[in-house]
Amino acid sequence: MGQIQWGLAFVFIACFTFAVLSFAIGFANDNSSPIDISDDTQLSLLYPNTSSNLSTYNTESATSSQSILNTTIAPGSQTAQSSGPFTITFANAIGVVTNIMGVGYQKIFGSTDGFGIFLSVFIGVIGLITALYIWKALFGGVD
Amino acid sequence: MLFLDLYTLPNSTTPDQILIDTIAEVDIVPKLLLAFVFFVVFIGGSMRQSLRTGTADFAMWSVVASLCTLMIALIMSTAIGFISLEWLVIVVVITILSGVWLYFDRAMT
Repeated sequence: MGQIQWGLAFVFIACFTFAVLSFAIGFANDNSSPIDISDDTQLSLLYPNTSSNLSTYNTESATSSQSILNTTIAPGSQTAQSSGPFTITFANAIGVVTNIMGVGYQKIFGSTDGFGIFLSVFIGVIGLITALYIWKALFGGVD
Repeated sequence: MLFLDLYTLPNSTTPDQILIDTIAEVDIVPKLLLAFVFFVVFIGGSMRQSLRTGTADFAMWSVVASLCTLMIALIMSTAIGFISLEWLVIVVVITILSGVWLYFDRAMT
C-alpha cells in the first residue's frame, strides 16, 4: 500500500539531494571557493552514490514498467485481459517525444550530461507511475 | 574602555576586511547570521501563511528557509574567514534533511 506515494517520496528525496550537492559543488568550482563541500569526504561520497542510485532507479523502473506492460491475466474476470491499449499509447508517446526532448535538452542545457540525470529520472518516474496505474486498473491494490 | 581590552577592533579606516576582522574576533557572528536568515524566513513565512490561510506548511517553509541559508553560506564560502567547512556541511545537511521532511510529509497526505 502506498507504493506510488512512498516511491515518489524516495525518488524526489534522491533528486533533491543530488541537486543540492551538485549545485553546491558547481558553485564552489565556478567561483574557485576556498571552502568547498567536495573537500568533505562523506558528502563527496554521497554525491556519486546518489547519482548511482538515481541511475539504477531509472533502469529498474524501465524494466519494471516493461514487465507490467507485458502482463496478461486469465480470461473470465470482468477486467481487461492485457494492458495492450496502454502499451500502444505509452510506447508511442515516449517514442514521439524522444527526439523533441533531445533537441530541447541540447539547446537549453548544452552537451554536458549534468542535467540529463534529472530528465532521465523524470521520464523514469512517469513511466513507473503510469505502469503502476495500469497495474491498478488491471488488478488494483496499488495506491 | 573594557571592550577594547577584550576585542581587537577592526580597522575601519580601510574597511575592506572589516567583516572578516570582526568574525576573527567573534567567530559566532556568521553562525548567528545564518540562524537569523533561517528563522526569519521559516517563522516569518509560516506565520504569515498561517494568518492568511489558517494553517502553516512548516515542511515547505523549512525547505525554503534552508535553501536561503544555503545560498548565504555558499556566498560566504567564496572568501576565507567567513565560514568553516564544518558549518557549510552542516547547512547542506540541514537542507537535505528539510527536503526529506518535505517529501515524507507529502507522502503522508
